[in-house]
Amino acid sequence: MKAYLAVFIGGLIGTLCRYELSQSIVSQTFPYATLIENVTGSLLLGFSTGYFMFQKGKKYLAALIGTGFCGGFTTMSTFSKETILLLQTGQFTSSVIYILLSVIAGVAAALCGLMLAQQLFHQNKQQRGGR
Amino acid sequence: MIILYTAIAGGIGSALRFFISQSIQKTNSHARFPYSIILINLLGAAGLGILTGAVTANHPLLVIIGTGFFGGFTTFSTFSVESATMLEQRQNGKLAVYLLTTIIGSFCLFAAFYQIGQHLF
Repeated sequence: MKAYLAVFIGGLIGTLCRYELSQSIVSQTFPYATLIENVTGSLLLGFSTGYFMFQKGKKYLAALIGTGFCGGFTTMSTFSKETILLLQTGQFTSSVIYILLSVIAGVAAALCGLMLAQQLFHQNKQQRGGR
Repeated sequence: MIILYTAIAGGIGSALRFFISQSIQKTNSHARFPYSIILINLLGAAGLGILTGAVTANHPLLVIIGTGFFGGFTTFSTFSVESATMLEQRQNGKLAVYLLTTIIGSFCLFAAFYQIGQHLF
């Protein structure tokens, strides 16, 4: 039950941030706001996944930040909606660029975050173990 | 006030996503393929499609349920991290299936349910 509360609070804050960001970045031609949210959210979730791999005790913090905040901050449904709307208005090139940019940058950001956290915290652990 | 409702709807969506992914993980724990996230993202795309088709463009429900609930329910970050993990472990076939199923599936479902929403209401 505590985990659900953590996810709820994280999702609430994540959704609030996503809403505010999408209100402040308004573009009629290209959905920059969702692109930025999805890529930064992926980076953060990659990093926190790498971090919590070595921190088994922090279950609720992982639920709050990972499943809650990052999950609520990023969105697949709005991404699909914006792609279909671009296609509907005949902006074929923009929609292809949007899909490729979101997926490639999102996966690359997640990979960067994951590898960075693994390097950082894995080394830390080895050093502590050595002493 | 809309901001508050949107944020709460996002929290509920996130909690529901957590519930679904937990219960699917429990039923087949040996499965190494993220079925739950595929299911969640496809369901969310279909739901947002029907809503976008059914209500007018400036309706407050579109923000509260669309941006809030379905936005919080679906996730792009978990999708990226799972793809990145597959890439790291060189499971290229699995990665291709995962990417194509999620992306093409959610587009098709959104478009189909958008039409359904427009004609139904």
